[in-house]
Amino acid sequence: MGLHLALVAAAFLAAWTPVPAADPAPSPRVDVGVIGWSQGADDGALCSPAVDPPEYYAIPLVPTRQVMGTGQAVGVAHTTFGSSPFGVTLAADGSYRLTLHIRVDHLPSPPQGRFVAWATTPSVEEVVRVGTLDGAGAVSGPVEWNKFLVVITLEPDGEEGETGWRGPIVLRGMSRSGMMHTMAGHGPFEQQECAAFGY
Amino acid sequence: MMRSRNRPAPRLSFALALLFAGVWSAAPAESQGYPAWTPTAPGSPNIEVVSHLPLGPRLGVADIELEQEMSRPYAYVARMQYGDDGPKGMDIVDLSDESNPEVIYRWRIENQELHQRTGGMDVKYFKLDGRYYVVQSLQFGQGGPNSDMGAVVLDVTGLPDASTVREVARIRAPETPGGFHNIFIYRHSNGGVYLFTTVSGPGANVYDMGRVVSGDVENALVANIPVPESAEGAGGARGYHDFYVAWHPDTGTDRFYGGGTGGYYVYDVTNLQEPQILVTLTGINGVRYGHTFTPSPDGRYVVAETEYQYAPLRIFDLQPALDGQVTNVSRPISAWTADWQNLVHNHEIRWPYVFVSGYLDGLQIFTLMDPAKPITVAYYQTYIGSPNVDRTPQFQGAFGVDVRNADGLIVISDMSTGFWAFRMEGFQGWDGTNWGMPNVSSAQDWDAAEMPGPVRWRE
Repeated sequence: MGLHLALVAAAFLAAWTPVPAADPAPSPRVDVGVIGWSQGADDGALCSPAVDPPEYYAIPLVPTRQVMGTGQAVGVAHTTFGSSPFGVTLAADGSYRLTLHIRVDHLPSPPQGRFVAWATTPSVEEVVRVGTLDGAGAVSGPVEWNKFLVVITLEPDGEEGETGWRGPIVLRGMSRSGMMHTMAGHGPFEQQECAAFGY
Repeated sequence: MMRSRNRPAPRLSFALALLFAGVWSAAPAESQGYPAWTPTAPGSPNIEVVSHLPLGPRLGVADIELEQEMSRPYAYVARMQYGDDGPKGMDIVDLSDESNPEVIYRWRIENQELHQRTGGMDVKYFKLDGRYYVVQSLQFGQGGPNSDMGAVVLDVTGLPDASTVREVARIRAPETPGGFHNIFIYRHSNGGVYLFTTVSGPGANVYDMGRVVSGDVENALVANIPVPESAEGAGGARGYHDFYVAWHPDTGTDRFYGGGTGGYYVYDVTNLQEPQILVTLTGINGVRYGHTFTPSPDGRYVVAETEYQYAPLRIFDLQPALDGQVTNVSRPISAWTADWQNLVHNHEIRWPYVFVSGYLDGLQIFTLMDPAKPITVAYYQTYIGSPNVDRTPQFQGAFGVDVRNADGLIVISDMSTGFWAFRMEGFQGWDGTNWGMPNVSSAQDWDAAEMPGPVRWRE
């Protein structure tokens, strides 16, 4: 019994002890790796993480080339879990609470308006405003969906509290979990890759 | 070591094969009249370019539909994103001045940048109760919005006033996400107008368009035409790629001609709820999946396409099956292609002519006057460029084709160069009875007072 208690205690400690912030190597957590990766405790200082997310956790942001001068923009987003001694944070409905980190390079300064980041469900039925990109093209904000889209728009005013974009879409990306599909939609003639184009 | 000892034999075989290939290929090349277009002479002398209207980015155009009434000179062009750029929707081209066509309306899916996959693919129009509608098939992938959406229906009665165009319905198929690739609209002998659609499943959906336009889209799915199981597919791993529906005058039945998993199939769909398989075309050398499949006006001959490089259009004679001698036909009586190195795509039959959108070979027209010996009669190269290097190489150039029976106007939708209109010398229109055939083509007679709709024999 004593040995069992010791093992349980050790396991508990291992579960909640955060990875040291000084750890230079991002360490994806296998148990939740499908939808996110962790660089350690989410202390809000990861708007522009020094280390890019691992390839399979990164959300590429692709320019739509609908706005003059933004065709060369390059962006990436990724998620981390909110700070918690239990490794994951859940919203009231049981969804994972994630922090979405966005960084876009090579965006010009728009003559009017601001670049604003949004997250939306794949059906675009629900939209949340992540925030206005800062001078470095970065922003972070909470997301509580498993599958979602990341949208960067050029908004004429960028006022806080907006519930949906009005300006043109400049970049877009899809959460890695969004690539998981039901095979019902893959018939015998579906020869193209799901995300080969359109993204 | 074994290979080393046998090396001389393959050399001899290879040489013989080359010799055989040369002899074999020379005859069809001569008989079918492979076009020898050049950038300065892109067409045969009997083809007149009526007009050309570029529509946008490379690989941004899919299929095309031309209204048949001269008083409604409108073409509908499906817009897809097969390349890096391009809209997802449909353009309406006004041909009131056919030498100066003009895009007068553009339907686009909202937030199109967020929609996965290609967008618009096939497009068809129909007339019902005095109003005109166009159906645009759509394909959106999972991971983005509207992956369950198969088509949008627009009321276009008020054209050319583009402000009157309004969206009537969106047809969704949530059980088979991914949308509709191809569609066909048929005025059935029962008087109804039906939309046949491909789905990502083992059959073709059939929608009653009367219900759709009256607002009862939820109950518009009225039938499904199955794909028979074959060696190439069973269970859910089956599907159609394209089809055609027509009245069969000899038997007084409505017939469905579908290309899909395993080959091609002909059904009696007079009773849509109980489709009866009539003829199968399976076990054909070089055919695992059928693509476009179009019969002659009398239903005896069929032109069958497959979608891979080097594939010719195969011509089959269904008479042995129609006579009840066999149930499966697997051997074509002839074949035709524009350039054996390429691939020809969709086609429209106006007997004896077959109008082909030949991808890299542009507009091609051949005759089936002797079905056993098809011969090229005209062509025009709409795409002067090289095959793709970033997509399937052959999926470039002329995608869709249509013909206006009243005056013989031919239209092509080219994936990269846009809209084209042509006339062929000596082809001022088409009526099947002038060729000893029923007046049956893809063009429906929406206003026929008597059923069956599309057939009228000359008195």
